[in-house]
Amino acid sequence: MISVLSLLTAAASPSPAASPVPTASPIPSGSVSAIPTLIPSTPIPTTAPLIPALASPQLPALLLSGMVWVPVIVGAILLLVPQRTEAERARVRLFAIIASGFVLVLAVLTWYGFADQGGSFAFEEQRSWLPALGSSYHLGIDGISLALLVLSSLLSFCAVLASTRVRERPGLYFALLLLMETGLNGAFASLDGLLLALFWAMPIVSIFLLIAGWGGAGRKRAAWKALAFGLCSTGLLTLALLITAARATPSTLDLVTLHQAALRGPVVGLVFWLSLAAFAILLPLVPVHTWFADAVAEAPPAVGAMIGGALPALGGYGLYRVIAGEFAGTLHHVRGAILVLTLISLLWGGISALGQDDLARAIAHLAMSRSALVLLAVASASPVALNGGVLLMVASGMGTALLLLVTGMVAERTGTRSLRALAGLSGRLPRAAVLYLIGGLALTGVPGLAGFAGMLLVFLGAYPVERTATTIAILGSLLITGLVIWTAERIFFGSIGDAHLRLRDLGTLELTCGTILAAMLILLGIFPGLLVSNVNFGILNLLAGATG
Amino acid sequence: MTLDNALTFTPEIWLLLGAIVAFLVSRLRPRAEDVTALVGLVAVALALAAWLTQLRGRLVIFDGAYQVEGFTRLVQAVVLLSAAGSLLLTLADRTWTPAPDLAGFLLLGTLAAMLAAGAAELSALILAIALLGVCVSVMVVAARPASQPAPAGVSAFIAATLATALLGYAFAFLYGLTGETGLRAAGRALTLHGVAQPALGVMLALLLAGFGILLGVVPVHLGLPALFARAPLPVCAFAGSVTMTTGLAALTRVLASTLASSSATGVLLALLAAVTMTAGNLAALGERSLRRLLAFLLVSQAGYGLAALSVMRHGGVAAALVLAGGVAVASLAAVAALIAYVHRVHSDQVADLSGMATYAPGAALVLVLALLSLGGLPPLAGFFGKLLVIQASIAGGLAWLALLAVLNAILGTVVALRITRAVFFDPPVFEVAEAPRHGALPVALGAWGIAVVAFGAVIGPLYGFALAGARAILP
Amino acid sequence: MTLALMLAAHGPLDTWSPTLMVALALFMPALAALIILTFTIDSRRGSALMAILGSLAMLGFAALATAIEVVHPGHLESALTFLQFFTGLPGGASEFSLQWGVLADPLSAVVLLALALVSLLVTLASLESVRRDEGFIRLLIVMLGTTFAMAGVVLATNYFELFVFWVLTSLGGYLLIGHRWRVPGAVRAARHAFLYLGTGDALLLIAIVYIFFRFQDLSFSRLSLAYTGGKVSANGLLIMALLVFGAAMTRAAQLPLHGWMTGAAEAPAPAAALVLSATVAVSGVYLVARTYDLFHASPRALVVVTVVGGVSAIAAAVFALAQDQLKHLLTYVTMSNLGVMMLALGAGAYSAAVLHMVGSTFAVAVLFLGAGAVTAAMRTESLREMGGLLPRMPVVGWTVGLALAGISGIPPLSGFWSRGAISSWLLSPRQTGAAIAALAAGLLVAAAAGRGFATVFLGSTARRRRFEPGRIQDAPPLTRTALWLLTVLSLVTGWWALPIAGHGFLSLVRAVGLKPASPSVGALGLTAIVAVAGFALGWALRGTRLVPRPVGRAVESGLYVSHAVALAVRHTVWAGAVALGFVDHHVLDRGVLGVEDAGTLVSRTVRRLRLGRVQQTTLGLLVGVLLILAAALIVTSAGFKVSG
Repeated sequence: MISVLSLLTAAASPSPAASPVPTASPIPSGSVSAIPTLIPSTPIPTTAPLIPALASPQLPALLLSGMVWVPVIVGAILLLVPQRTEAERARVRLFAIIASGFVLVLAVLTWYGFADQGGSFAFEEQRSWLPALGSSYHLGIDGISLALLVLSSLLSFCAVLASTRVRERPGLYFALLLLMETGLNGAFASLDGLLLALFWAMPIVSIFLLIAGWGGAGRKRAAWKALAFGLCSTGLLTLALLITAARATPSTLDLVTLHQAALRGPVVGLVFWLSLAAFAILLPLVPVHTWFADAVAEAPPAVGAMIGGALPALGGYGLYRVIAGEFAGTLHHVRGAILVLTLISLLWGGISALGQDDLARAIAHLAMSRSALVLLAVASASPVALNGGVLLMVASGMGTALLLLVTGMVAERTGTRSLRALAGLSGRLPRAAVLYLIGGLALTGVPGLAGFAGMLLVFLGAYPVERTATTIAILGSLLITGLVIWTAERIFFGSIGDAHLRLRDLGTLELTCGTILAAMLILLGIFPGLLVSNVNFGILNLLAGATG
Repeated sequence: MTLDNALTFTPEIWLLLGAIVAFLVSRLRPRAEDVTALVGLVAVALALAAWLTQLRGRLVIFDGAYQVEGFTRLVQAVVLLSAAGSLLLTLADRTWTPAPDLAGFLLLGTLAAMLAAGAAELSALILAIALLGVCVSVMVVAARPASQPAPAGVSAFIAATLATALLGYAFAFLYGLTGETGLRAAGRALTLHGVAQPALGVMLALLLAGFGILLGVVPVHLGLPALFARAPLPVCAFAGSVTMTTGLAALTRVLASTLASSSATGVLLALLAAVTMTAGNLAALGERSLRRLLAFLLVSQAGYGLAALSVMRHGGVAAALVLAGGVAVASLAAVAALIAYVHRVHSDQVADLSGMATYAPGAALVLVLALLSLGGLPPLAGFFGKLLVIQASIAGGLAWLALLAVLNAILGTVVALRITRAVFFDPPVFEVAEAPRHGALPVALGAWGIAVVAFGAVIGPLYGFALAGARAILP
Repeated sequence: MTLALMLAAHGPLDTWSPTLMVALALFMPALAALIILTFTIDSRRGSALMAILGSLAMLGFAALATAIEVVHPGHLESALTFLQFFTGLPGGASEFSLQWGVLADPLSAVVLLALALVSLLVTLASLESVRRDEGFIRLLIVMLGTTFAMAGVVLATNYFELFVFWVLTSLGGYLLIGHRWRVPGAVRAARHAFLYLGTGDALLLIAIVYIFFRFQDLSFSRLSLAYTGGKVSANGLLIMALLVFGAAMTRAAQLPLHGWMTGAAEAPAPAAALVLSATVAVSGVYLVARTYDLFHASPRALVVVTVVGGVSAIAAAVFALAQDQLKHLLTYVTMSNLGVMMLALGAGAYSAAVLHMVGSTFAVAVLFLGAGAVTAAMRTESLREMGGLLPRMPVVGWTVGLALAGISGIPPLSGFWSRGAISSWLLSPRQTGAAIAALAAGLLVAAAAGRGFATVFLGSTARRRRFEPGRIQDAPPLTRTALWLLTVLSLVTGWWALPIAGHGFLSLVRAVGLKPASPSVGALGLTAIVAVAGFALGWALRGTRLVPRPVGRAVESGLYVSHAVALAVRHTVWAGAVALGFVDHHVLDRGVLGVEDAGTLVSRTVRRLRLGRVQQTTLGLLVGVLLILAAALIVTSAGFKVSG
């Protein structure tokens, strides 16, 4: 109840001056313009003060909206600027880099200025939008969304940075990339069901167009498959949300209120499975995973990195918000089925990764096997495991993206991604080899890298709840270890083929985006507290109100 | 009839004056289509201004034959804006044989639509709709390119006549069953002393068939593709926006005031809706001609409209109104984009769109946005109507219809994205020559493109008005 | 040196905190590695200097810590928080926290000192032997990193921290073994190592998860009390102990998980010396020693440890006898040695086992450095192509010989004392089986050592084409120094078994609940006899092939365990991968595409309804009207009423 209360107080406070909320509070008075028919405001305690820059009551109100809308606006502008000559193309890319970099800076500011609300959400904005439907333009983040917001901004920045080789229609390409960023950020930041569904569709459409327009040989099939699955996910999500809104009391689409509202009757099971299916598609889980590897493999490298890194995080975020947050009871009843699903996906991904010849496909299956652990964490519903799950999402998102980027760089030089064709490249591309090893080891969960803490927390937290499944999961992770070592050995070690004797090592831009990701992996590996300290309160808040 | 009542008609009067002026001008100066179109625009603007002056209260005149309340006002607003859009397009489209009186007929059609929106009495309604149909078919014939033979006009004329006739029979039935001509009174009579089922069934069937022809409801949808295939594009715009809106609105009013509580109506509407939206999208999925594809997408929109009406009591009416608005905006944008490109390549085949992104980037963007919006992709204009329809049918307990609507939204998006791929990613197969284009075209493109994207921003108040309108007509 | 420090320790060192010392010792190599990475990455000389300085500093702090611990034996910890948050769960789990810190007690101090010494001297030797290789700096960095990781394992205060550094050591082993990444053999060996060690890591992880689940705690000191607290049944303790021991087995190369060790010799000589002597191989024994309370609480687990250790010791010695390649022979000698340590630990000879571990660490380092020099000089691995090297490379010959003799227990060298202490413990409470196993292993390993030494260094140099024995030279100076220093260390360590100045090793490093062992004369004599006999036997057997070729090959390949695993993987996992791929493409995708096809089909049929000509349009409209009429009549007559 705290969350709603504080939210409402924030919304009802007439003006920053007269606001009972201390100005140090990150609750924006931008949400002042929201519904006036709310309960009288009572002062709420704010735990940590913000940095001065964010302490001003207006900035936070703009912060999230900025992160959400800046990319797509810049993208729309990019559509109009001329791109005939090389110089103009370079300028287009520069604009895109600036835009996503700006968003990244905002994300870091948010991270820095984030102060947990003791149950409520930070940087809230609420504007009346579709009151008759119980829906409003309501943004706000807790620790979980914060972590993923930072992840998506970082990945988008790296993706834009890494797309150096876009010759045709760069404006459209970057516009779509930025549209994807808007969709991801919006989905992570939206506290309104309808808003969530709106943003949910953006990355899917832009992925379809990006694959179809700039993809590899099998682009057509891959694009259509990704589109079909993605739209199904959106549709299922929308349906689930609308049913919830229709059946819940009070009938609303606001996630915060829904989190408090109790949903009863057989409809609970229906909504549960609908939304689980919607998220399983993006996570991805067997049997709705076939689009994932195709999309990652056929997309242009940077986009592939976004798909492999960010979309599973989106699915996982849905699992957290909806499945873990709203359906604890149902989850408890069907845990067996969920666990079977998890293990199947984990082993399926790991085993079929070993069978791939295309490196990108192998990595995609790897990511799939990794993100099954997120479902394990959600199924266990233990705070420790859930914390670990968020860490794991961030880590494996960055790790997968790094691996895919390096793969793209290798493929762009050698012209192939076939594990049979590549060998001994670390003589020519030592930096790429190092980056690849860092990313891969982060995925396998080597200490000192980001994956480790998440993995350990998931296992520690999940074991008491489901012992067999966790044990199998630990042993199944050996598959990932084996695969990373094996691929690294195939590509980078051994004697180099004559075909690859004169390759140039990574360029500055490639090195930059690779290094950023690697540095983040190491940083989070040594100081996971940077995230967990914020995430944990979100988790507790999630579990506190979990009903159904 | 007091002066105040007479002033109620000022918008219609302005339209009438505009039509007269347009006809006079076109008699005096045969080649003055620009002038007449401008006259039309001015008339519509004046009508809009007049509409703005009377936003208050509920006016009932001709003892109930016309009612001007929230519902009417909203529909009239949509109609006037769409008429303005169509007039812009008549300016922009340079390919049809000079027919300066087109603007006149267009104004007359708009007038008819305005009357239909407010008609609350059987005879008034039938008159208005008959006038509308006649205007549309006359426009088709009057403004056809030299190359085109008559049939388009003829079949449009036949369709319009058939629709009018069926509605006439339906209203006759209704009168016969209830002895009332006022819609409210008829509804009251129906609910009071019930009615024999077969008679009701026949009446319902005739009603739905009549409006279905206007809206393109499967299985009486054939008129719409035929019209779009042949008719000049501005007329298509008019049919897709004004006729659609008016038909949907009139059907809503009739059903709401007479049969709102009949479960039979709900079931029949739901069935027709399911068939219509699915068939429309599927047909569009495989369609090769862009004009027909647009027509089939509109057919599926009609399906959504019927779905909304099938759960009228659970917010369906408001959903239908929002839907109509979105459809009008999207179809105007789509037609504008077609005008900008189709005539330059002398083909409306999807395969020939390959160069569009290169040679008409702006139009390409607007076309894609409009089609995606018709398909139902969030957060474009068309999405919100569908969303409300889905929500209403969940609230009305028709979960299967909601699921089907979601699937259709996905299907529609796929259709639109198929075109998107053709427009943006298929390599251009031929050079497209620069064509002289009227200054109105960019205006129309920009205006409707922005409207498609920004629709979501005003959805809140719009839905508020729609709810008010629904309250106004539901007994 | 240690003695001097011990004397000093009574003075100023009283006030110094041992945990601070070990912490500094822990971070020195990491610091050196970072400095190399950031500043001297391009200069071989500078990097070498930094590596040496780092190791020296580490050695200094480790020596100080050891001195303090020797004077004031005690168990001190200082911990920091790695991760901590409130879980809201009831009971002890209401707060989740992971600590890491350093632990200073005699065991950790001594092992740390040994590690520091070996790492320093090995680095010294590496300056010459791999100086001209490419990736010299990479080697330095990885060696420093591995030393750091091993130091972390030694100083870990709880299972979590232990696991962190544990995995890092296996990573270090992988990188060191695969250092020559152009050589296919090295790459294969590295992969084997990583998979074996990775399996061990997984086992340890399961153990940790299980322990945390049962005790909600991971700290060694707290757990050592909790084991016997009766909170967990004997079976539970057995499971924990066996899981931990499984992890230790992969490291200490106990049967049947020894497949990676023979490959480890693929690393450059100094790296191999580091991996097999002080870091990876030893970490297994150290794990058991560190978590001894757990084993102590579960006697059945101790029995398992004893049996596995004994079997491995004897079998490895037999393998060593059967070897035809120098490095493999030395590997198996080392492995047999580790087996003896496990045996001793299992039987309760805790202090003696640790002493043996420390002492043989130096000897093993000598062995692999020397072997590197020999193979470099002879350009061959095969024993049958060697011989008569002693006059040509005296230093290598003498040091390796002394190390072999010492490791196999020839009096009065180091191994003699530790083996003697072990057997005296085994004989005192009549653990006959274990005693016999230990002595047998001693006999066999001595034989193998003697045979190896005699074959390589005595007799006459084998004649080969394009190879002039005259060109053979002794190892370069720095390596010689390292060899001598290590040899001296390996000689003196053992004497510590005798109580010197009241600070006998056996009474210094002790396990809780075990009485300190003291070497008995009889046992020492027995050990000496066995060792000398074995050495003599081996001497007699020099140059002969003991076993038929296939057996030899089978032994060399580690009893085909890794082959079996590889085969299993290829035929199960691979087949599974293919099968899953088939399902993906032909079942699941078929489904999707099937929907597509159906859609297109329907759309075609629907489009057929689109009739072009006027009459057809009209006809279609009329038909449609009739359809609607029919539908309406059906629906209305189906019993729906006009309500109200």
